[in-house]
Amino acid sequence: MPGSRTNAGPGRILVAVYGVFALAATGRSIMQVAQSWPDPPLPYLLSALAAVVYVIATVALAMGDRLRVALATIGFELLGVLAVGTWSYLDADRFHDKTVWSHFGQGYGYVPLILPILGLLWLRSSARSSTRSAGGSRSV
Amino acid sequence: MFLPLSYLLGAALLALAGYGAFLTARGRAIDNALFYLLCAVEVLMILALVLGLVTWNEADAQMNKGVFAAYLIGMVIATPIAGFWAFADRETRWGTGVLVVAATGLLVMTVRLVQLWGGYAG
Repeated sequence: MPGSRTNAGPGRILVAVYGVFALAATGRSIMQVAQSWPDPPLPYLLSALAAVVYVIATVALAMGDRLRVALATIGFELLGVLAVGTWSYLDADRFHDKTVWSHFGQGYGYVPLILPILGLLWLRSSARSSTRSAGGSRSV
Repeated sequence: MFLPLSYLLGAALLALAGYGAFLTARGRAIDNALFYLLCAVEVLMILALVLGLVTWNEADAQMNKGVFAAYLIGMVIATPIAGFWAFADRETRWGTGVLVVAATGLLVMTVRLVQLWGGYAG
């Protein structure tokens, strides 16, 4: 399988943004879950799940040739922010405690909504360039 | 003493982010000035870590000391990681851009540190 180098060029900055976000989300959710243990509310658990997926996405992008893992984790973040964003507006009582994904990532400057879209666009463009260089064999 | 050091750190991070953004916009790779600025930031962070832990009794009584220490340690560790990630691309503007992202993230963390020191919930 040809390496598609998701960590080169602009991808290098994307990995840095994912890294900052993985660090922020992980740190905050560890604090939230630890302080509310043994009964962490659902929003905190969702934040922790989002954080774990960010860490995996960061590592997959940084390794450069893990397109499928990157696609799955980044796609999951986009679905998560859309689903929980909608859910947090419909069921405001349950989402009194904010998650990374609540209100489409409002508490984090909408980065949780924008970042997976940029990530998917970047994966598409890097998959295309590797397809060209490998003479047509698809790697996604 | 911790707050003046935090402001100095914030100013150094602003300079790093601003100069890095200027170089990235001009399409330039990491230069010596940017590298020394990053080194200065790391030294200030190590000073902040030591001074913060030694003098944390001077902070607001409500300060969450665990979170405060976690921020300081996280910043000292994150900076060299960002540096190595950036230096792996010394040829293009993208390595420079990594340092802009890192400096911006660290700036947010510095603001949070000052807020924690003042006793804002965290």
